[in-house]
Amino acid sequence: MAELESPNVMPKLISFLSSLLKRVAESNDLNQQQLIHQKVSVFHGLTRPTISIQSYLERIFKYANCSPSCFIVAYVYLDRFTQRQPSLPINSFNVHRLLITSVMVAAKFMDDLYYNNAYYAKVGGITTIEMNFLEVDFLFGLGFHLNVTPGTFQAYCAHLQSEMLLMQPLNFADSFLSLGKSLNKAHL
Amino acid sequence: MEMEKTGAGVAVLSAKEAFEKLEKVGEGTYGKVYRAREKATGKIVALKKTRLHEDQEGVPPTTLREVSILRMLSRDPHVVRLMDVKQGQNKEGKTVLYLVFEYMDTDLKKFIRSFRQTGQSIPPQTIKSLMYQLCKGIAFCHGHGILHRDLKPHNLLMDRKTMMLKIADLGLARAFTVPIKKYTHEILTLWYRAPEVLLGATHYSMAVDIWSVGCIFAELVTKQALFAGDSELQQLLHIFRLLGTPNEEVWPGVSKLKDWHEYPQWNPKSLSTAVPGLDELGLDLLSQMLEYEPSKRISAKKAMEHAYFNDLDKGHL
Repeated sequence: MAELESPNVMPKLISFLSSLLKRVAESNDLNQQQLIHQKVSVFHGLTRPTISIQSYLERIFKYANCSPSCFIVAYVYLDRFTQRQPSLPINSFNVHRLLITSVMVAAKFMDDLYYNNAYYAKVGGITTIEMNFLEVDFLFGLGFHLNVTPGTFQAYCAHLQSEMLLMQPLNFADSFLSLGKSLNKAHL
Repeated sequence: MEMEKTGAGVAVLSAKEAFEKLEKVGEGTYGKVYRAREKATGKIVALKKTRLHEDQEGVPPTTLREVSILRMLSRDPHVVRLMDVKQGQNKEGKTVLYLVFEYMDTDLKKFIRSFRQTGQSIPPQTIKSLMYQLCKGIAFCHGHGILHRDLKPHNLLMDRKTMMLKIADLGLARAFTVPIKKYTHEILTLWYRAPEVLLGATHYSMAVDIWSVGCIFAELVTKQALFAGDSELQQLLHIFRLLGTPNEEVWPGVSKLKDWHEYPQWNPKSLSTAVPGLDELGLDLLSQMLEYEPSKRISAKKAMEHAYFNDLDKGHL
């Protein structure tokens, strides 16, 4: 996905990532079996945020001004996080906080010039104190596993690209948020 | 490497309970470094305390990168080992991160200074061994897609007894493998900074580390910094005086770099004038490390294969 820089690619990618995360969150909301074993974490809001995932991600994209690659990397982080923390699946109560945190951490790791936590907190509609807590928990939740190899980056890009071309509902068994195991074996 | 806490927020033994601080051994931008004893094992470690009280910023990007990168690279014998990361609280109840490293008793800066003070030369075989270890460590970093970007004697830790060298302080390091916004100009201590960075290149490569390695090589021989500028301009002029003012012929594209100006014209001098104690093979390797054109600069892996290292016993390195 070398065309990330071109102006019409990112809006499509943002839209696609949003719809994918929405489906993952809704699927996990419905999975009552899973809810029994779920832990409540700092990412878990008391209520579902009223802003849609798409509007939220568009807002982050508009104001974060980070490298387009950061959104792919943030997505890799979300995948790793859900693999390492199976008791914290992405759902409607935590997806927004996980999103703002993953993009912020990706920008901090990837870019030499980035906005600070206070700025991201404003963009995400949370307090700076909460943003700081989310960041630390996210980092420990990932085991500080932040580096993304070119192989992994390309694999995620290729997968997203093929799914975007198909633009049809994903089979969740094969969805990207559970593809990590095979990708990790191949590239990490 | 252990991790003290999961995303679910599991609390375990705090750093205060787990370690006994013995003495402060250094201080960085974000906190202090202590020599400490792990209470459970009695093992001596280096404890790097990172303040997070800069509420606006959160976890410093240097800490974030250092932990993440060392998580990958720590298995190499020539990269300092990060043993653990712990989360704690200071007296004001603010979050503090403790990075637990293996303890090394000196660094290359102190090592060179000790020879300078006694007026002795560092034995050629010692220089060779240290240089080989440095090239090996950098080759490992580069092989994993990591640029160090702040190589200098102070960031190279040593064990006096075994003469083992380890690369440390990866706070400015970064992965160079995924497309990103332009790199910052503000990296690396001036004396070890590559000319392409000084001239404002915003996309640079592994070659920036090799330039630093070359500067360190010369410093091991002479016990003085090779290019000791006190500003970016002075730094460039020091380089140009020895290696000659670059032009499109020796370095295609140099005049297109952001900070290129018309500079005084110097002809290149022989490296042996600046590094008189170095043998012919050493000078050849050094000249390949100090190539102006980054793409022509020798790689760390190739440097390890250079004839300069032929008579070195590499078995224990």
